[in-house]
Amino acid sequence: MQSKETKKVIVFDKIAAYIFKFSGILIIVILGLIVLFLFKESLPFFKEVNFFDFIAGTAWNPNAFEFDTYGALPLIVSTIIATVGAMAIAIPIGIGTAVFFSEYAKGRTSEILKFSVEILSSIPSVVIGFVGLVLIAPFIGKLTGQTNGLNALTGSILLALMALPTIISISADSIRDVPKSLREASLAMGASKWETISKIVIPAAKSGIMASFMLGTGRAIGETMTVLMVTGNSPALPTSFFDSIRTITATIAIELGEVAFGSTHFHGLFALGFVLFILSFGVNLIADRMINRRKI
Amino acid sequence: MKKILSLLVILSIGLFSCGKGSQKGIEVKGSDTLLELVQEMGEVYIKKSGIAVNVSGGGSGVGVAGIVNNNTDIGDASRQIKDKEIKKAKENGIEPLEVKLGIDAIAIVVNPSNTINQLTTDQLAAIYKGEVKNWKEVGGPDVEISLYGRQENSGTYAFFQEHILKANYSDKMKRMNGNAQMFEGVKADIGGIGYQGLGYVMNEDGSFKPGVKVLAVVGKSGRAVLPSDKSAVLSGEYAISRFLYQYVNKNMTQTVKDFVLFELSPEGQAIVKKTGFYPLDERAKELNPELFK
Repeated sequence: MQSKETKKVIVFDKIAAYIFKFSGILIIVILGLIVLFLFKESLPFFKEVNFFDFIAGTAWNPNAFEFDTYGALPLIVSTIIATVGAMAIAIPIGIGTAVFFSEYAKGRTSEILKFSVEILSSIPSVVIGFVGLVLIAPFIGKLTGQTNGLNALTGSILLALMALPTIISISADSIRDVPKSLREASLAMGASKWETISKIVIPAAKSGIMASFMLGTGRAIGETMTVLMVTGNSPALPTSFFDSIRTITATIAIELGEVAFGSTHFHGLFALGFVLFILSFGVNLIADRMINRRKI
Repeated sequence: MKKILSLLVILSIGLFSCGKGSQKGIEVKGSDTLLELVQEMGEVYIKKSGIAVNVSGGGSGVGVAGIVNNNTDIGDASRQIKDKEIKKAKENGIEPLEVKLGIDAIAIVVNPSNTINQLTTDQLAAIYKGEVKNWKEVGGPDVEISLYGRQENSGTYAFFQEHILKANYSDKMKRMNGNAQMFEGVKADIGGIGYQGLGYVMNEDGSFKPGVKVLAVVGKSGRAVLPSDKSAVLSGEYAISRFLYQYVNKNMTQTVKDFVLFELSPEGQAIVKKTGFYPLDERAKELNPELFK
């Protein structure tokens, strides 16, 4: 015979389990609904505009003086250029910081570094964008001999800054997770500390480090405000890092405000959102596989 | 548990009565260009009359749509209502009435280091179409032109395109996020050119703010005029100026009419001037004959 107290505990346990289950399922349902919504809202667009014209067209001009065009290629290329540039800058710095953080920094230095990384990740993107617009863009312009620095390079630098905290903290964690015995064995065999780090520790932590790159990439792809402020947003197809770019996120942010509800342009923005979703979904899928591989 | 419940009940009663208790004021929405101006009008008006004026932005399209669909008392717009919008309003049984509040001039700005002082409207169009690529082609230094414009959701973007460009903007034009960023961009760029609402670059005493250089524009009259030249703007000689509009329902309530008349009174027109636009002053009556019948 169960006591009253025990019964109460059992009932509470059941309720708690339902609550947790509900929250978990809720997230999946929300994600599913978002995807469904994006898909449903983009469909009418493709009745008006040829899919090939959308994905490979080079002129995005939905408010044209005469004929509207919906070529998303410059936007997709812009997003890719900004992200690749950001990763080219963030990866070496991020991995260097992560190694220093987990292998060298001790005591106070480590505390200050940890604090700095946390603060860096919490700076609002509009603040980073403003600093970029007023300080970094003119500087980059001078450095590269152009009259202004509102281009892909400036955007990449700022995106790198925003992706760094993710890369540093996840990489540092996975480097720290490498068993001490591996390091000791390497050192005992006569390897130097550099050799141990580059040949043993980093390869052992590889999947975690790769996952951090992918998550950082996801962060860079989805960032809106900063790139909107410093890249000039001209819709011409970019050919180098010194060209102004207009990312998918910036385009949606700029145009969704004034678009007529239910128009081709309106659905076109949803189609852009869907493209963006597929890009970041792909990146996250790769990241997920890498993290899982680490566990095995 | 009981405590939390009773707290919730008290809270919800509080919220409900708040919503019910507020007095019905005047609803205004629309153009972001007019937002600050009309908010200022509202703040002065509530002190005068005790009637609240709730102003929100969203763009000229939102303001006009508000009147067409009869869900606002006043719709702000920095462009004129279109024929198809009037037609739609009439289908909904509404006759829109146009009120002219003031005049906004758009200033053409370049970097202070640029030696150029004036441009014709044709040159401006060629520059923004991307046909003229270097300042030396229009009498300036040998520096590549770098174009600054507003984003597609801006009324100024549309106005400049319709009245000066009459074509597509160059796809090399940088689309800046608001007036402040265009100002910063041109200030830092020796080849830069931009356009912005006069209120943003002119002080109340008619002098220009430092950081950018305001160009004179040569229009049909063949004379180069600055946007700070009040008589040239009011006569339309300065080529890039526009009226600031409000749209109301012809059968508006007396409360709404009183507010609109206040806006056109000397007191209201002083606010127009204070917020960086040109007031209509004594011409307010002749420009808005319907209201003063």
